[in-house]
Amino acid sequence: MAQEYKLLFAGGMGAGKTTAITAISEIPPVSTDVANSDKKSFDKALTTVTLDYGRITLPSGDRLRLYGIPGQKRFRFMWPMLEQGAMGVVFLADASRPDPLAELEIFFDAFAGILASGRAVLGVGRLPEQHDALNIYIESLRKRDFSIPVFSVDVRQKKGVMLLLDALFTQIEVAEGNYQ
Amino acid sequence: MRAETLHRISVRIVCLGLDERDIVVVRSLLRLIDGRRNISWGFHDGMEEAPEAVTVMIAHVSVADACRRAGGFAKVICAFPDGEPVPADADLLLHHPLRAAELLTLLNRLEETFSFGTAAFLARFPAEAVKVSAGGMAEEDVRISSFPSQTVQKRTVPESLRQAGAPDRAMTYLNPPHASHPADLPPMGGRLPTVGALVAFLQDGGQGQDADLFDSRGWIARLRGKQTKAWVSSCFMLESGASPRAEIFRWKPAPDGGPLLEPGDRLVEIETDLFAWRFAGFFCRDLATLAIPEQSELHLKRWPDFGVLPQFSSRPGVLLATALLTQQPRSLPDLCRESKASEADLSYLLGACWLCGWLHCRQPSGEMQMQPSITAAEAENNQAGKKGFSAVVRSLRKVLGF
Repeated sequence: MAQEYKLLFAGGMGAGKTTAITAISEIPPVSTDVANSDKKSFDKALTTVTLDYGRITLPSGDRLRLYGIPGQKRFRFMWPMLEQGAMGVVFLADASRPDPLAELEIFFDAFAGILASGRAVLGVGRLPEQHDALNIYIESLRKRDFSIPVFSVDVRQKKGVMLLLDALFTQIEVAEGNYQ
Repeated sequence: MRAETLHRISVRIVCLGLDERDIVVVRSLLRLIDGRRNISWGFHDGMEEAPEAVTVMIAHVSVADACRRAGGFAKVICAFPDGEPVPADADLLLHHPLRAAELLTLLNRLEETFSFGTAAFLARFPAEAVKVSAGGMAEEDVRISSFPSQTVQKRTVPESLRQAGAPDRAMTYLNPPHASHPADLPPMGGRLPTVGALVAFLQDGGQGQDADLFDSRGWIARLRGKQTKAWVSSCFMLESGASPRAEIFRWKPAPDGGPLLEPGDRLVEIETDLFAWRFAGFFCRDLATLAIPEQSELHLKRWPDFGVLPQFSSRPGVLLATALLTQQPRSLPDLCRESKASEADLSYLLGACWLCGWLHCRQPSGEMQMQPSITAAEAENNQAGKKGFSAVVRSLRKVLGF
C-alpha cells in the first residue's frame, strides 16, 4: 500500500515557500492565495493565507506531500498536526523584511521537536551586504540548542532549493545513521 | 534579484601574435559563451573598455612571456605550435593554430573561475564590499605609508615592512605551493599598506616555506576581532585560477596615481571569512597539512554557508562530512571512512572551518557537550524519523535528480 510522507516549508510572507514548492512539485502548487492586504510592509500582489500544497510521486507509488506554511496566527492550530510525522522542515526567510528573525523564531519554537532531531534546514534570501549576515539566525538557533544547516539562498533559482533539500536529506540520513 | 545584473563582470580577450583565422575562432566562441553566466565576454577591438574589465591575453609562445612580464592581464594563455616543446612555466596552454574544442574547454574553465566570484560571492559582497584599495585605504585600520622606492626596490614585501619599522604588524608572508606568479610580487617599490595591516602577501612557491596554519588562524582571528577586512594582493585571487575553487575579484588601480604594488599587482579587500576560505583553498590540500592527531575528536559548531560555495558543496561527500561533524564528534579516520569525501575536499572543509573558528578539535578524554538534551516529545519525533525516512530520501534523491 502506498505510503504518504510530508515535507514542510515554513516561513513568513514573501520568504519563497510557494516558489520553492513550485520548483520541485510534479503538479502546479495548489495555493490559497488572496490579494495581499499588507502592501505597506510587503509589496506582493498575492499572498498565501492557509497552505500551499504540492506533490511528488515516488517510483514505488509512495507520495511526498509538500506543504507551505505561512505564519498567520489564526492558522497556527494546524501546525502540530502538520509537524506530526513530517520527514523534515525547510524554513525560509526574507532578510529584507522588517524583522525576519522574529517571524522565524515563532516557527523555531513551534517546530522545536523536528528541529531537535536535526531534520530541518534554513534558507535566507535577500541578505544585507554585511559581514556574516547569517549569524543572527545561527545564534538564534544555537540559543535553542539547535544546529541545522543555514544557507544564504535564492529560492527563485532551482539550485538554491536543491541545495536546501540536499542538505536536509543528508541531515535526515545522518540522524538515522543511514548514510552509506 | 539584485546581484545578477549589478555584478556582471566584463572579460575581454586580447590576441597577440595570432593570425586572422585564429581570431575568427576566438570571436565565434566568445559569441557562443557570452552571457551564459554573469560574464560579458568580448573581443578587445581597441574600443574603450569599461575600467573594471578583466583582460585575458591569448599570445603566441614567442610573445607570451613578455606579456606575462608586462602584467595587467588576469591571465595569459600561451598558444604554442604543434611539435614545439610545451613551455614549462605556462599554466594555460593552447595549440596553435587554435582548435575550437580546446579553446572552448579553456574558456569554460575561465568562466568557472570568473563567474563563481561574480554570481555567488559578489552577490553577497558587491562592489562596495570588495572595495579596491584607494577608497578603503583611508579607513582607520589600514593606512598607507610611503617608502622611497629606491630603498625597497630590491626587497621582498616582508623585508620592506620590517624596513618601515612595522615588524610587529600582524602581517603574514606566505608561500603558496601552487601559485605560479614569480614576477608579480617582490621585489617591489611604491607604497605599502602597513598599519595593523593584516595583509597577506603571497610569493611564488617552491622555496620550502609552508604556511603556518596556526599562526594564520590567530592572524585571521585578529582580523575578525578588529571587524576589518583582509587586504590581499590581487595575485592571490588571480592566480587561484588554477584551482577549481578559484574566484576572481574586481580590482582597480589606485586613483591617486602610482601603483600600490609593482609590477602589475594590486590590493583587494575581502571579507574575513571569505579570506579564510581562500586561504584554505591554497594551503589545505591534504590532511597532513592540518596536523590533526588521529585520536582527536572533531566537531563542527555550525554549517558553513554553502549558499556561497555552490561548487564545493556539490562535491561528493562534502555535505555528508559536514552533517556528520555537526551532529556528532568524530575522529578524522572515522570521518574519512564515513563521508567518502576526497582528501582534498576534507582538507579544504576542515581547514577553512578551523580558520573560521568553527571546528573544535579535542582529545577523546576532554569534555565536549555536543548534543543538546532532548525532551520526550522530541525523542518521539526522533523515533518517528527512524521509522524509515532514509528509504524515502534515497528514492527522492533519484526522482529529483541529485
